[in-house]
Amino acid sequence: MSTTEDKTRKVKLVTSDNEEFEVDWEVATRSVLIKHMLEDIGESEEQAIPLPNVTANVLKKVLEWCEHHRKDPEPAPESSDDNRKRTLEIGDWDAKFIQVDQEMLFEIILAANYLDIKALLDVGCKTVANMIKGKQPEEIRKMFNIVNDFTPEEEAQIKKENEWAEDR
Amino acid sequence: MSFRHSGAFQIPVGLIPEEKAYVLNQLPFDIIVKILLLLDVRDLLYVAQTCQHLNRICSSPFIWRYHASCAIHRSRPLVLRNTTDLQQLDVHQLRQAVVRTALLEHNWGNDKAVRVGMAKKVALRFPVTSPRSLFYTVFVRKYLLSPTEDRHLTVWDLERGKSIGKYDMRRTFAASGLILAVREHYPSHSLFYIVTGNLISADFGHTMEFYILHITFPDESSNEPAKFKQVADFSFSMMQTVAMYILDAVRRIVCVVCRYPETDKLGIYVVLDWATGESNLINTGLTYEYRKSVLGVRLSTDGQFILIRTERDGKEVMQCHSLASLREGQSPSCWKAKLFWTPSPEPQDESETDGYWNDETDSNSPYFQPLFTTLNLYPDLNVNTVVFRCWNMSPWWPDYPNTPRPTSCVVLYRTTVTDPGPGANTQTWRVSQYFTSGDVDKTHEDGVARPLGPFARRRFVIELKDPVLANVLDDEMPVLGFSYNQAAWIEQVVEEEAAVTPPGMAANVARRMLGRGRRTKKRLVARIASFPDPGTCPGERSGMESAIKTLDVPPRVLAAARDISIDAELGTVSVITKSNTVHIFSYC
Repeated sequence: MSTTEDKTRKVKLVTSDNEEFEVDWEVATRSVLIKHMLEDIGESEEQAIPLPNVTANVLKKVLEWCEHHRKDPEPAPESSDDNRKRTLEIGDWDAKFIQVDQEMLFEIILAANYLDIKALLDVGCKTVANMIKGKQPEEIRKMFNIVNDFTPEEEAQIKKENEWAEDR
Repeated sequence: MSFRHSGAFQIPVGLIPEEKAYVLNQLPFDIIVKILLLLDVRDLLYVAQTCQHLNRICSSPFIWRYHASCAIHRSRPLVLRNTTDLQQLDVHQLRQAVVRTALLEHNWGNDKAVRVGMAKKVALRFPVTSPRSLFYTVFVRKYLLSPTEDRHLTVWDLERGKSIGKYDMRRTFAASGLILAVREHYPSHSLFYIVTGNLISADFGHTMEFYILHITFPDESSNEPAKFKQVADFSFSMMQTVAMYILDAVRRIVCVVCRYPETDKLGIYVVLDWATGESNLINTGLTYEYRKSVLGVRLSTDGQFILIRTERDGKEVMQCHSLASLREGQSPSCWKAKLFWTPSPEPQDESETDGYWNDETDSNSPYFQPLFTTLNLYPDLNVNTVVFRCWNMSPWWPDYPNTPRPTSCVVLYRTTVTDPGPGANTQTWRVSQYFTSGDVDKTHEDGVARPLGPFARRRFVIELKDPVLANVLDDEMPVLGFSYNQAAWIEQVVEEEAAVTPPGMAANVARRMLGRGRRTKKRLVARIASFPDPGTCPGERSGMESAIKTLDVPPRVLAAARDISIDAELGTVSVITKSNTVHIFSYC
């Protein structure tokens, strides 16, 4: 298994729309999924890794993120304390990176989830949370194309249950 | 696919390419949860109102347990109403509790006066003992426990507005029935307290009887009376007693802090089990001086160590002693034989005990800096400033996994002003508060357990400006009440009476001409301060900083006040008036 740690090794990835990407091992293994797959196939370097859930334009964007963060240390295992630091702050580079349309944002989140890239998934989720923050229900619906499927009675009931009685 | 009107020009539906209408509510469940956990409570309530699917996810107990644990983690109280286990609450109750806490916290942030609900008035048919009930009265949620003038201990249910039990003190207890220590036992909905009895002998420094009473409150729904039970009694030298603490009601551990008259050094007589009388003595080697030192004794979070905290001249010292080693070397019991015990002369201790965090060793420590830089915590620290009283409050809520249980320490200081200007106060009052950890570090290389550092890095200091005072025994102190993370008091504020502008005169001219004769009047206001989150410093962005707010309690109630108390769990402030009526105001 010595070659799996080889920094010069290249990895081939194939997207759902059959586009092939060749990237450095270090970049590709930001994805825990790809890392595990590479460990499974072992020495056979020639074999391309199929990613049937990711399209080329999304993978391109994800790899851009992986390239920038290739030297980042491994994320520390989650401790109960970290859970509570609910900061919504995003680093400067990441904030610029994630300035994409909503469709791409959701695609990145889904890809990061599928490829198991925790830090990227965090950036995506924080971005969505920031979009929701401070908005009224109707504004949230508008922003995310959510269809109001409550009956008027249900809506009144739910409004009451979820009342936020702020001193204004 | 969602259908949207995109303007006047519409492409026939069949021709629209398979549009990826990404909608928040179509993301996988675990991602939605991940996003929702990043939101604060208010945003969560708004998301819940958008559609059925998100509403269901927002109603998962998991999310609300998470927010409950966050609130507890930051020492914010939750309304749990007799629940001992958060897992028992249904999601609706849990959400209600969390929302209330979050809302209260949010409302602290603005500078409006806190609106209080209509007062509920409860007239106490058995007048509570005069003078002021500070030593005597205990509020436990909706119950008020106080010695009454008919020499009983009386319990009132303040919600139902009636007395639900009396305990006759005439035979066993002295007239005072001084309550020396109180410990609430949450799971059994009961209270333990140490109360003074009769003076046995004037020898050996006034030997006094003490009783441990256990009082159990009825279930909220039942009409049963409160139950009283005397669980232990002992005698001790009153003159040498500094303080008594019930350290653990379940394991029946109490301690008496005593002073060796020759040296002013502190000894701690630990009763390891009041049923068997197992006991031992700790010689702390620490010096204590009445009105100059602060003292706290409690068990560590793991229940294995006794933590002693003293503070003098602005320096804090902590010690810990293991219960196991106290058990090993326990001394013959004089407790069980009901013999009084006089801790004198001071025993020679073979091992020198060290304190930790002596401020001298770390002069850069920000620990003793007050939160408000404009206030000096120890103004001209000399004979003029005394430690008037201190409170060490433990959290009353049930244990929650991985959540620290810091003790909230509150100290009241009084400074006598030597040369007050005309009309100025002759004394000033300050309240300082901080959270301290109950954890013990057992990893030190020398194998000696040490108390871990303070939980909060700084103190929160409030200056009580012109507080209303009431008599306490032979002294007076501000009418002041605390909960674990709040303080309430009554203050006099000077207000200028609005000048009436004569018709036809410009306001600024009127002000100049009439300004001189403007009258001022004093008005009483109730103030409530919420202590900052443990560890929160000014300038830090996370966590809640404190705010002092005004409660709009009617001035006529404040004018008659002799005691004030806060119940953070119920969200009420109660004012006992001189005519023995309790006015209960809801503030959230």
